[in-house]
Amino acid sequence: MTFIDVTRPGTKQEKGNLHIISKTIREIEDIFVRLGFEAQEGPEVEDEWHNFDALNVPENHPARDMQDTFWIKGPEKMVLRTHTSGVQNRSMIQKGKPPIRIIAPGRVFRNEALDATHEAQFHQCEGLMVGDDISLANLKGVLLEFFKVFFDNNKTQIRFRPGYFPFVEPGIEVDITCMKCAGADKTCNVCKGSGWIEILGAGMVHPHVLDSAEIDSKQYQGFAFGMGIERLVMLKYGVDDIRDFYDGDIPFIKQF
Amino acid sequence: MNFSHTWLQFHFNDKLPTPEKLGEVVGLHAFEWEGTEEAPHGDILIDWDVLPNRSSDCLSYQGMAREVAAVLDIPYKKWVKQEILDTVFDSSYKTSDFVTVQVADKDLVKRASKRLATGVQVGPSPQWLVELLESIGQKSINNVVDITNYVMWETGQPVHAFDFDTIAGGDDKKTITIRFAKDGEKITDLTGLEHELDSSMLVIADSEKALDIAGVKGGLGSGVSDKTTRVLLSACNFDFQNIRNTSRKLKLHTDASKRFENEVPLNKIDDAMVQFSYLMQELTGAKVSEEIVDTAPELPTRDTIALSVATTNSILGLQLTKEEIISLLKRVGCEVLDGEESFAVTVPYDRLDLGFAGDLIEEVGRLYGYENLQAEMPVEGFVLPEISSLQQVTRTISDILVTLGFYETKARTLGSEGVVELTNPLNANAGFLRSHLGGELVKKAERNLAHTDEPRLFEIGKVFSGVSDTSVTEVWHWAGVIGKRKIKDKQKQEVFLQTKGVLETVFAALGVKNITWEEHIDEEAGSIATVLVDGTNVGLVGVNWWEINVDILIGFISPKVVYKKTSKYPKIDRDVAVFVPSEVTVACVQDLIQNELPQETVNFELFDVFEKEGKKSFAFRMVFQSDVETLSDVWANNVMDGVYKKLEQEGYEIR
Repeated sequence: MTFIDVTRPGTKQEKGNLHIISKTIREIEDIFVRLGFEAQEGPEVEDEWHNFDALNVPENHPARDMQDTFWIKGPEKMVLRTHTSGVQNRSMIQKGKPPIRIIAPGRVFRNEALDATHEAQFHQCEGLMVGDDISLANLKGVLLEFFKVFFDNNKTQIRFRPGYFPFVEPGIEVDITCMKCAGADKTCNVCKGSGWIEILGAGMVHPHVLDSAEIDSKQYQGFAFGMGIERLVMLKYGVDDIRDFYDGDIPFIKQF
Repeated sequence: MNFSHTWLQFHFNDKLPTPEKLGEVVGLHAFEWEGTEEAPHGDILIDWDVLPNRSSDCLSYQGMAREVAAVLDIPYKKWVKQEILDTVFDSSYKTSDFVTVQVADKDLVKRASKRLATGVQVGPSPQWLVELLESIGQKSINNVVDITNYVMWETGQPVHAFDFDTIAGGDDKKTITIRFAKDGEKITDLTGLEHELDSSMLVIADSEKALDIAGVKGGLGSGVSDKTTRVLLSACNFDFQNIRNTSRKLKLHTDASKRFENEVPLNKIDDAMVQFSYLMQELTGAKVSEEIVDTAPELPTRDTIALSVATTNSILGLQLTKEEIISLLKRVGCEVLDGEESFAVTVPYDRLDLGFAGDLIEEVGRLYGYENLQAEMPVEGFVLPEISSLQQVTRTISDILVTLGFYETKARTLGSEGVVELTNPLNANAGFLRSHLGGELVKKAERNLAHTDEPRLFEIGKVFSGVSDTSVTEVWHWAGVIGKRKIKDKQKQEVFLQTKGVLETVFAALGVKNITWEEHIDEEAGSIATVLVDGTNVGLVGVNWWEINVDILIGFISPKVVYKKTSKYPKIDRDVAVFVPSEVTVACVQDLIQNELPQETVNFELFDVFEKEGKKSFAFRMVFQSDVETLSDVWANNVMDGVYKKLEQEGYEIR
């Protein structure tokens, strides 16, 4: 028999890779689809009404200060969306009535200077669930399941703190246990020793937001949340500079 | 905001927890705790990020003490000293005999309150006040200025002390007007900086000049000096939006403007005025008139809010009793008019954030403690989620490209070129929304050549192709590039076929049929062809790149599989090679032959091309198979005779 050297390296088959942001969006979509959520998308250039008014952020409200907004030259009152929350109204109108379970990943924009943790553009994923009796305890349940799967750690815990976003009431800041030290390292550079990491904003959908989408807020209620995808990726893999995501450098993309 | 632990402690008889402990517990139930730092005089500052909707009541020690009391469930003292409320003021003269207050716009100046103090002795502050201010980073100036500072931090209501004798209008009767500034009117603030005002801004003025930029900063000349003996105590309430605009336009952000911008509750003037007056008497030896001149002493009432036990529990996902809910609401200072299932709640006057049932439910939830909330999966209303065609198409495209060795990139939407422009770009290189993906992708490929031989990149993303008076057109595009160091002329055909092959593979996977390629040379775009599906243009292709309109392409995908039973009869194949003049295209010859082929043709493709002495040779292979019989050589030869005849009629030479 002919001698075949089985220790020689195989012929190289060049395979590429998805961008880690796309990969993560897929992962988020796939987890939430298992939980009965439908992925939706919305325009990146929004009218002011969808970006602010429909979300209970009235004109001249100080909350409009919270996000510095890019405005479009030409058409009146058009902005680059500052969050994916604008999709809330569109998907509720589209569905017409509960049950509504959607997520909406996509690109968002803030007029802020570039540094290692700030980009004028980044990705967010919105979540919305509306029904007869959907509660804050359900929000905790859904997010806990999500984070356990996403961070591939059954011991992940979740913590709610009061927060303020005009489109929810009560408003919640959500923390999860530090994926690096789980609270064991007082000098941890990820959680700064607290054991907790601020991960997203959420809350119970404000009745005005339901009403502006013609959903009867006396009959229905629900929760909404919004998370920054770059932030999730940075935490999960330890990426320390947000600008790396946009350089298009193959050695960076290849790793994930 | 940084809160002094010592100052907070003044509001409690109970000993407060350590700064760290206090920081943490308030952080979990009210405002995010950002940390603690040491301050002068053994004090420690606790940094809480007061939420925007609570900035109206909690940018003050009175407000924060009430919040701490609610979180810890311990009693607090609104007033640091009981004497404040027991102070006796001077009834021997009336403020109104000395001053009249006029307001130009009652919607913007909601309330203005003035009180005259006489016999003031300006001098240093007592040690306790100096230390308290120093511990929060404020410098002691003199007793009067320090009092105004203290009162603002304590109550959240900015106050001002005017030297009464610097106000124009004779010794004993002055008119203070709160009016709009004149366009171009100038005022020098108490630090000596000059500001030019406009007619949207409010000023506090005497009969001759503006004394103060209302809600923002006092002016030079009317402030307290060593010579001051009579002080006009002043506290006003302004429309938050007006102050916000003024402060922005002037780029003048002060502790006072910060509070006014966040809407100071109307009743805070009362709290501030009583402390201001008390301290003036205590610390400066002044006599303060009992009478207060006030433009709107009557406060509008606030409606009660109806809350039910069932709603509270339904929103939170808890099973609290009515008694538990009421007791939690009382902790934040609400008064509850008991009912059976539902009850009426009167909120503290200065809690402007409490407006409807949901706000009260938040108070119940956070004080009960979100840590006590069990995670529960929702059980109601499951509908099978749909997967959109965009999602399917982008996933198919990406997956195939990845197996073909492509890396996905994400470029920035904002750049220096495009048709849609921003009014307020971050910088000159980011003033437009991209209208194409290809250009940036090609540049990225070139950069990757530094370390990768043939960088293959793609991106799927939104581009912005048009703008009208009412809308912006945004479209999903898909671009790809096969990065090459340099493409020589004679390699162009080969590289283009590589590019085209990638696209054909993806189109096949998407079920896109009836694709035609047309020459389209655009020097500027660098394109050489357009791709058409059913005659509709779906995108541009260059030698080594492409850019496809996904929104149009989606209309042509047919993911449905049509099964056809495979034939059990053998296949028979034939080749034909033909010399053609060099300007004749493959498509041209292919069409000729195609018309001659019978329905038994299962495959027909070009397999060889070469050029020799100004002539081109195309070699085609065709495969025949029948579903019902074995095809004979005679049958095949017959078909081929028809093909040869057709080609010869065109004047082509069969090899």
